[in-house]
Amino acid sequence: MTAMIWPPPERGGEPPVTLPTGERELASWARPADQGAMDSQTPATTTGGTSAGWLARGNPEQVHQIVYRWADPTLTGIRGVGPVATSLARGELERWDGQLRESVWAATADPPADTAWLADDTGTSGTGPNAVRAAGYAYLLVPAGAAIIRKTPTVDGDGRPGSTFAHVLVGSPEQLTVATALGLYAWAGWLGAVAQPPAGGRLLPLELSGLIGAAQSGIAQLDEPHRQLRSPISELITTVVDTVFASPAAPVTIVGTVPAPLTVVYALVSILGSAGGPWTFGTRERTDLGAAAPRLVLLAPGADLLAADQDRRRVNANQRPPAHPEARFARALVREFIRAGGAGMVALQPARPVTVAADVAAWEQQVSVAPGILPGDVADAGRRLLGDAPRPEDRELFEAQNGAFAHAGLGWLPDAALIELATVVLARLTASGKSGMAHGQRLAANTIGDVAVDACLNGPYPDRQPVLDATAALSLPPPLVRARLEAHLARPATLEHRLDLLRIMDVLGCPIRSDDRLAAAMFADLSGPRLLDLAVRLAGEERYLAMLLAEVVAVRRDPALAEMRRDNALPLRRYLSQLARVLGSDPAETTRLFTLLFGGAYGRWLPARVVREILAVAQETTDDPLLWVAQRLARGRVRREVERTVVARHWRSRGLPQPQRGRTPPAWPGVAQPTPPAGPSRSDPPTGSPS
Amino acid sequence: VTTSEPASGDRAVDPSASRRRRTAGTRGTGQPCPICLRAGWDDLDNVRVISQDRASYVPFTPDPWETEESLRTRLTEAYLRCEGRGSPHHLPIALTDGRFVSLRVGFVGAGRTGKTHLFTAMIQRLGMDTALVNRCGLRVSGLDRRLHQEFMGTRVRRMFNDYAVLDATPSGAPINLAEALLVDNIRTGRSYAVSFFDVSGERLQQADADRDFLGGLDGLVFVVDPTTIRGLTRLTGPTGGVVGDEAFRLSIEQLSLVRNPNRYPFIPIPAVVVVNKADRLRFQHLGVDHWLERANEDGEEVNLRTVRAESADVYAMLATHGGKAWLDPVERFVDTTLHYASATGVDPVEGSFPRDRFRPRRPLKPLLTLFAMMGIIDRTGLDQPAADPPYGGSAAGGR
Repeated sequence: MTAMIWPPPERGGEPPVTLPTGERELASWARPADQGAMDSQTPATTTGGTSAGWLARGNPEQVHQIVYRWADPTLTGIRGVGPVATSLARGELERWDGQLRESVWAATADPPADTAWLADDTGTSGTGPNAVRAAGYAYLLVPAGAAIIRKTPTVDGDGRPGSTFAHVLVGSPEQLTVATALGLYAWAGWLGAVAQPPAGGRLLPLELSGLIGAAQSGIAQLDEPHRQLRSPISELITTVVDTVFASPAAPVTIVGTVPAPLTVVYALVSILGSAGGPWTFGTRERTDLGAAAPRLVLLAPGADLLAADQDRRRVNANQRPPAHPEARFARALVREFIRAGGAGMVALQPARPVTVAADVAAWEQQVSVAPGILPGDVADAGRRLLGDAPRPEDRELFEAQNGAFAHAGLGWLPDAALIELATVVLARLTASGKSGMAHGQRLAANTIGDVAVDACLNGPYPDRQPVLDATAALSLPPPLVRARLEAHLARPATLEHRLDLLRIMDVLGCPIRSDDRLAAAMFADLSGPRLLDLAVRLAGEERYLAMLLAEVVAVRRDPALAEMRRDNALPLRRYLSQLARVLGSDPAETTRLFTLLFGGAYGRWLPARVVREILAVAQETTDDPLLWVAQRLARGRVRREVERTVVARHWRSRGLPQPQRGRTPPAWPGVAQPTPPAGPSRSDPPTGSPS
Repeated sequence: VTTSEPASGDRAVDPSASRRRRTAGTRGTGQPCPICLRAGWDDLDNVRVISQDRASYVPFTPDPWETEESLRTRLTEAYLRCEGRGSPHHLPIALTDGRFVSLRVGFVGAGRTGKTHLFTAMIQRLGMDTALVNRCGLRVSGLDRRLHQEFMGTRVRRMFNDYAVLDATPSGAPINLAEALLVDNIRTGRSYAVSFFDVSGERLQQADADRDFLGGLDGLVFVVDPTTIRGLTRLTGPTGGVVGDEAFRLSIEQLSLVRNPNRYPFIPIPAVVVVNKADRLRFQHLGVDHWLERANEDGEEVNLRTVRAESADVYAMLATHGGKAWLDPVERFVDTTLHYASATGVDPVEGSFPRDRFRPRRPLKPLLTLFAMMGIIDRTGLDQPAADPPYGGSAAGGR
C-alpha cells in the first residue's frame, strides 16, 4: 500500500513523495528545500490561500493541514500544546487555531481492547516519550469551515501523560463533508505521534482528489460489514436513532464502551442523513460539555459523566432498545441499514427537513409501506415466502389490500435488491416450477415479477441493464408483462420513453408487433412522416424498432400514404427509398414492409407511372428492395420492365454479360425464384416476391 | 463579598413557612458567576440537583413536607446553573448562598510549569496535615462532596498513593472549579468557601481564549518554572525563553482592566509568586537549598514570619539570574510574596515519581500566605517578620 503524502514542491525538482505506509513518518515531515519558516506571506503558491477568507480565496482543489503537539514555543507563540506545523498562512492558522484548539485534545483513558483498529500503528506501547494510545477521530464544523481531527493521547517530553498529538485537515464544508471524514478514518496519510515537526513548521497542502479517493475506499470498508451488525451494536444504533427522533435537533452522547465506534457513527449518519441538521462527531471525546462539542459524541471511558447541558441527550451504550410503539420506525430503519447498508438508506431519506418530532412522523409516513414496515421488510417477507421458512404474516403482507402493500414496498427497493429478489424467484422456479409452488410462493413470485417489470419500464433503456437481465431471465408470461406495459401506457410518456418501452419489451421476450393494438395506441398521436422519419433514424442500429414503426404506418393506413398518389408526393417516395436502403440487409422483411406501405397507398396494384418512378429511383440508388416491391406490385407491361431491370442489374452486379432473351434470370439471394414473365396481361399477379 | 443569615435549623411545622425559610436559604446574593461573571444567575429557578441515576442535573423541587435535615442533605449536592455564554455550567450552591464568605483562587502559569502538581500538593497538605493546619486555627473540609471526591481520587490519590504523574490539564474542557473547600477559622468563627481554578497553561497564554473567571479572582498563585529561565538552569541547558511568561502578562493585563479600572498603582488583589520545581535549583543556588531544608523544621510552613525573608531571597535570585520578567506580579499587585516550593521534590521517571525521593517541599506556605493576605487567617506574622532573617535575605521582598 502506498500513500501520496505530499504534493510536489513548488519548485526545486523534488518529485512527489510516494512511500510505503511504513515509511511515511519521517518523510511526511520533510519540507521542500526551498521553503523557509512560516511568515506572514502566503506560504506556498500551491496553497492558493492567503490570510483572508478561506472560502473566498482558498484553492478548492487543496486541503490544508495543521499538526498540534506540545512545544515551546508553538507556531502561535505559546508554551504548551499548539500548532507546530501547518500548510496555512499565519493569519489563517490563527483563525483556525482559535476555533479548533479546544477540540484537539485527546481523551487519555486507556481504550478498550476492541478498538484496536484505531490504535496508532506508528507508536510504541508503554509510558516512554513515544507512547501513544488509541486515537480519537472527530469531524467538526466551525465558522472557519470543516475540520477532520485525528488525535492521539501521548506524553510530553518529560513523560507527563495527558498531552495530545493531533493531525488536522481543514477546508470548506463542501470539500470536507461528513462522508469524506468518515471515509478518511483509515487514510494512510495520518501522522503518528512519534513524528517530529520540520524546522519552521512548513507543510504543504494536500490534493483534495487524493483524499476523496481514499475516502471512497474507506466508506466502502465501513459499509461492508453492515449485514454482520448484531446486538449489541444494532441495539445501540436503534436506541440512538430513537433518541434522536424524540428531539431531532438535540446533540447526542453515547456513554460507555462502544465496540466499533466508526461503524456506529457511519450507521447513524447513514440512517439519519440530514435529519436534525448537519452531522459532526467525535469517537473518543473526553467531554461532551461546551459549545464546541460535536453533535454526536462518544465519550471515552473515564470521562466526566455528569451532564451539564440538559439539551444534550445521553444514551448508555448498554441501554436496551426502547420498547414503546413509537420506536418502530427506528427499528425499521436499522433493519433496513443492516439489510442494505448505506446505499440502501439513500432512498429513505426525508423529503423535508426534520427538526421536531412531528417531522419524524411525516418522514415515517413518507417512506413506510405500513406502520413500522419499510420496503426492505416486504422484500424480506418475499424472500421468506419463496424460501423454506415462510411466516404467516409474510403471506398476509403480500395479500394485504390486494397486494398493494407488497407492490408499494417492493417498488421502493433499489435495483440491487430487486435483482436479488428476481434471483430468488428464478431459483424457486427452477427448483419446483410454477406448478410446484404453494399459493403464497406464487403470490410472491408474481408480485416480484410485476415490480421487476415495472422497474424495467420505469427507467430509461438500458440504464437498468442488470435489472433487465434478471427480469428477462425470469421468462415471465407475456400477458403479465403486457399488463404492466398497459399500466404504464396509461401515463403520458415522452416519445423516447415510448421507444424505450418497446426496447424493454423486446428484451423481456415480449416484443410488440405492428398489428398489436398496443403499438397502434402508443403512436396514435404521431403522424406517418414522423414515424417514418424515426424509422429511418433508427434503422441502422435498431432494425426491430424501425420495422415496427414503419409497419405501424402501413397497418393503420396512414393518410400520409394516400398522399403518395399525388405527383407532388415524390419526396415521400424518395424518403421511403432511404428506408429501403437502410433496411435492405433483410430482403424478405424489407420487401414485406414496402409491399405493405405501397399497398397501403395504392391498393393491390401499383399504377404504371409509379412503377416507372420507382424504377428510376432504384436505378439511381441501386435500391434492390424497391425493385422487388415494384416487381411484386406491378402488373402487365410495366412488370416486365421491372423484371428486365432486375435481370440486368443482376448480371451487371456480377460483371457478366447479360444472357440472351429466353434464358431464366438468376435468383436473388434470399429471394424465391420469380416466375418468368409469361407475357403482358392485366391479370398477372405479382410473383416471385418474398412473402 | 456579601454574606447572609445561615439557614435556620428549626424543624419545619408549617409547610409554607418552611418553604419560605428554605427559599431564603438559597436566595441569590447578587454575586456574579465565578466562571463567566454574569449576574442574575443565582436565583431559585436555576437550582439543580443531581438526578438519581447520577447522570444529569435536574431542577430542584422543594418538598413541602420535607424536614430541614432532609432539605440540607439534599442541598449538599445542589448546584446553581449558569447559562454562561452558550456553555452552561453548574456551581455548588454553597458558594453563593451567602452562608460562607466566598473566595476564589486561581493558578497562573504557562504550560508545564507544574501548576497542577503544586495545587494538588497544596490541597493534600491543607486537607491531610490536620495538626499543622490547626496551628493556624483552620479546619478544612470539602465544600462539595462530589467535587472533593473527584479531586481526591483523580489527583491526590494518584499523586500521593500511586506516585503517578498527573495528566496535563487539557484546554479543551470547559472552565470549571478544580476544587472547593470549606475553610473554617476556628479563632474568628468565620467560614470561607474557597474555590480554586486550575486551568491549562495554553488557555492562559491565548489572548482570545475564554477566561473570564480571572476577573472574579480574590487571590492568585503565579507559578514559575525555573527551567524556563536560562540564567537559572545552566546545567540543564537553555531550555527556556527570556521574555517571561505570556500567561503572567495576559492575566495581569486582564485583571488590571477588570479589577483596577481607575488605574491605581496596584491591582487590589493579593498574589503569591511560587518558584516551583525548586529542587532543581538547590545545588546551583545555595539560598534555595536553605529554604528547602527549612521545610523540615517543625512549623516552618505555617510560620508566616519568615515569608518576607523568603520573598526577598526569591526576588533577588530571579532578578539577578535572568528572571526579571517573571517578577511582574510583584510590581503590579498590592500584596505579593514570593516563595520556593517543589510539588514533588523529584523528577518523574517513566511516568511516575520515585517513591523513595518523593517529598513535596513547602507547598503549603504560599497558600497559607495567600490565605493571610485574603483575610482568612491572621496576617500578623506577615507584617511582623522575624528579627533575624534565617539566610542572608533582606526584608525587601514583601510589600
